[in-house]
Amino acid sequence: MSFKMTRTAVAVSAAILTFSAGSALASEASLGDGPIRIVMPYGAGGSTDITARIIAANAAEHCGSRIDVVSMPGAGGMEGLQFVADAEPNGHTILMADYSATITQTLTEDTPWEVEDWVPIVHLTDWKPTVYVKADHEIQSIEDWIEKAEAEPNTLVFGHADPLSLVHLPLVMLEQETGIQNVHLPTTGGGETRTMILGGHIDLGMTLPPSIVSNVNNGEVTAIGVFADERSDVLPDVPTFQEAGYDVSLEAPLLVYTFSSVPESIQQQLSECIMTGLETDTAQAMGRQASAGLENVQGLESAQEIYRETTERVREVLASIDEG
Amino acid sequence: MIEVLIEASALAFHPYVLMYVFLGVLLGITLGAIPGLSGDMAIALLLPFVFFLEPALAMGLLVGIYKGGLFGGSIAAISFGVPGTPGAAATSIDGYQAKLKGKPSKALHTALYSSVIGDTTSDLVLIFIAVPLAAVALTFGPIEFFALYAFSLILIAALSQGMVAKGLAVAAIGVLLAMIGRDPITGASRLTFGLPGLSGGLSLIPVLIGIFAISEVVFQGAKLWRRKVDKLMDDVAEQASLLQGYDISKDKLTWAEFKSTLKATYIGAAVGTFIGALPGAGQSLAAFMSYGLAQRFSRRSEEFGKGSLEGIASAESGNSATCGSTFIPLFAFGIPGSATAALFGAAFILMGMTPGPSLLTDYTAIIYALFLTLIFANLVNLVLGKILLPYYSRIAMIQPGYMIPAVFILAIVGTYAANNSVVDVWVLLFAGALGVMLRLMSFPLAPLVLGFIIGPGAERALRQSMIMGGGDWWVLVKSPIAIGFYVAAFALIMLFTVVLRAKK
Amino acid sequence: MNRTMVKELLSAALVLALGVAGLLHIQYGAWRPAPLVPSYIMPQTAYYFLIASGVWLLAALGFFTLKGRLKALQPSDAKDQDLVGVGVAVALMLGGAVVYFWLVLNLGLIVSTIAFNGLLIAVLAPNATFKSILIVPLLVGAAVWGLFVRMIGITLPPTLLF
Repeated sequence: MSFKMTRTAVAVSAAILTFSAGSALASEASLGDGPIRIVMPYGAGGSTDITARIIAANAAEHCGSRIDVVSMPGAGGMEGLQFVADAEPNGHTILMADYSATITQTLTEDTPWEVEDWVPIVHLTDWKPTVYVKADHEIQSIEDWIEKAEAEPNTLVFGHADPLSLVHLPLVMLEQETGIQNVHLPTTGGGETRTMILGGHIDLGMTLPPSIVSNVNNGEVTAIGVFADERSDVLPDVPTFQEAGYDVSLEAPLLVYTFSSVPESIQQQLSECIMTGLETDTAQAMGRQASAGLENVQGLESAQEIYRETTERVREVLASIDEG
Repeated sequence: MIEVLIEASALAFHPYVLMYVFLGVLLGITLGAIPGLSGDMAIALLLPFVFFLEPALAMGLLVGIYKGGLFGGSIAAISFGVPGTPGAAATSIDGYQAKLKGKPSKALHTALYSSVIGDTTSDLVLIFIAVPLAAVALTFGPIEFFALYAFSLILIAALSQGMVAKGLAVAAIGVLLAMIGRDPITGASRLTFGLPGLSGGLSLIPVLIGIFAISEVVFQGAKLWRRKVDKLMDDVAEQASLLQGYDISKDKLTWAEFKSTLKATYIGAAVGTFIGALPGAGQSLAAFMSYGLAQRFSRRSEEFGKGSLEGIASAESGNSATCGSTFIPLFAFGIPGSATAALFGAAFILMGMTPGPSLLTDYTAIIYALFLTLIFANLVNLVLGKILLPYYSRIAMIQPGYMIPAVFILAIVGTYAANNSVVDVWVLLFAGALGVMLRLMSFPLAPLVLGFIIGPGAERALRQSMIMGGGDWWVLVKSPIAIGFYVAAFALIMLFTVVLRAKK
Repeated sequence: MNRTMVKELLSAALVLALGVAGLLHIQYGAWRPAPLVPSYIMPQTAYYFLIASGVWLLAALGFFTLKGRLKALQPSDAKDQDLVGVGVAVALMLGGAVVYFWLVLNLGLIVSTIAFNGLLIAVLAPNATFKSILIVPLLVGAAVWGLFVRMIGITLPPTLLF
């Protein structure tokens, strides 16, 4: 019993010391030891989860003791962001997400943070939203689609995930660019969209390339166009919309963020150790197996640049449709 | 074919693989028995290690965890009326009543056998007729899904114990609880009472465990407190604890009893296999639907809800029969139909195998080894279950004065750990309070949970159908499958009212 | 007025009130316009069902009262609830759980678990002894530590104790 008491007393005094010295310690700003948590505002098992676990398995030894991946899908992902925002700003709680969590939601919803409060430190990869149809559908190319949609506006049903998500905004942009009109059908996500396409219930859908490669190779669906500046590595035969003459491109960068209260030196340190971890042979091998696209991981500057650009684009689209 | 089978057997029955399956089942049963936790969580935690394991080993471990978890959920459901996993909610209705009548061992054994039978059926379907069944599953679009959801809601509400009006009312309350959060079509927040924490909606685990389990635990607490007060006031001798009066040798499942549950088990196996193959429908729906149908077709339907072994068998078999068939959309089209299938899909991807139609042709040996492992894991589940059940039966009979507080705390911490969500814990306690209130007013609880489970799917399917049909209500009956469901619902209700009249 | 009557009247009142309040909210609340079907279609249907079942309950209640067969409304094996006991249990367990989880977030998982478990056993277990109140919570604390901290690595904000 007396042993327990002393332990408690030590713990209490240590805690008090930490609290009083908190601000002083922060100015020294080094990452230090202790586990790091990568919070991911989605359910387990998706592409982001896989990439996060590749980081956890490879960057741990470079960043300190160990890295845990935590899935916090609560409140549409807001709970995950809240957890990172509330954490002690020592760089041990970081966020990994695409722009719909940090940019779109922040602009459209009432959140306690601004877009600028999220500081991207690593730019992992760019996802390229891809439009696809069933293989025996009469539409088999971008031109077919535009022609048909112009001839009979509001008849083609287009399945996308959540409204304003990264597989919906490009459609909105294309419709503004070309003036075509489609029926927008929200689904629970890529899986439901694909079921509806394969079952012939809807005409077109949008998803990310790795999830349909297998169906494309098997001749079940046709990918008709990519909303990106360059073609996707896994679907090299599919043209971009720019090639077809429509200047619409909205790639979705997958970024690792810290909250802005984390000192810059720690951001730098984290960025470097994650990059080092991802450059190892094991990490690259895992990335290739999972088609995670980790061949060209970029650091702080590139990440912040692409974040600023994406914010501008999303802001424009949202403003043009009276959201946000 | 023969060479493939030999190659696959060499992979699947390697001693290390067998050991991993064993370990997995043990881990799964343990985690599944804790409310809030499930095999899914363990699978997610193990994902990064999958990369470093041989595919056959990794599959053995994951399959073991998954199957153990499915059965483990029913242990807590029967022992404490606290479903360990969402799929076991229907099992808790009759399982817990059976335990209260001093038959935990019979109930647990029924659950084990029906679980293994349902699961094996589903695995065989996966192995032999995955492709045709997948094609059927694809014909389910929003219109058909809406019909399926409407059918199950009608079935359960009309079945509820006591008054049908009350069943309908709580089903409506369940649907309303599910409407909290984001509108699936417009993305607007609704019914959140201005609380930002509710903007993502209520999750299934806290609502389900709160409604069923927390309210039950609170009622148990009330009984305990009353006994304690009586004891203090009157100084009467404490009655012998359940354990002292419990003789496990008198609580054996007889062959006749086992045979009487078989019809319910087969109904569960068929319903569960079918529902499991539909992407997005889920274990809990399968369990409740099997339960409802088994009651309809049972010769002793009046025993349902009062500790019927048939009730346990149908729910548990329906729940477990989703196990094999949930992989059908994954293997046939690369579509993960459930959270578990998504995790297995991620594991395949990490091992360099992209889920989808090419999986079977590109990695024939591994996939056949997986099939063999699926069947073998059922055997392990059966054996381990048989060994462990006598102990679980005794645990179920430990003095509630010590067990109830522990179960209550595990439910709270387990719910938090499932999603690392603080909001979920408050939802759990709120749902518990709601459950207590509804029990006091003698509302049935199963329709509420079912309404909550299928509310969002039904709403989405309805609104998607309407968008696709251009706002014309007739679109809802433009599919033969949908018409079939409506006719079946109508026929069942007619049958039920006629039978009821005849009995009176 | 017996207890069944009160219970059924309360149920009907609750169900009706909820339905009417919901319909008013649909009428006067802010609902984002949706294409083709109004965005409140599903809640609206649920409210209609609530009102209908409330009316049905009242009608059945009136019918059985007139016929003098109120007992038919009650399931045969139902017992009257111990309202005082339930009240105590709700206050202690649900109220206690709020405090408990606040402590888990701020003080520490294991310490709070041991304390809350001790409290519950002390108040609820009919034959709790001083010794069991001390030992059982430690065992439960150890089990929670082993399962959630060691095996699962539960994610909690940093706390004062452990």
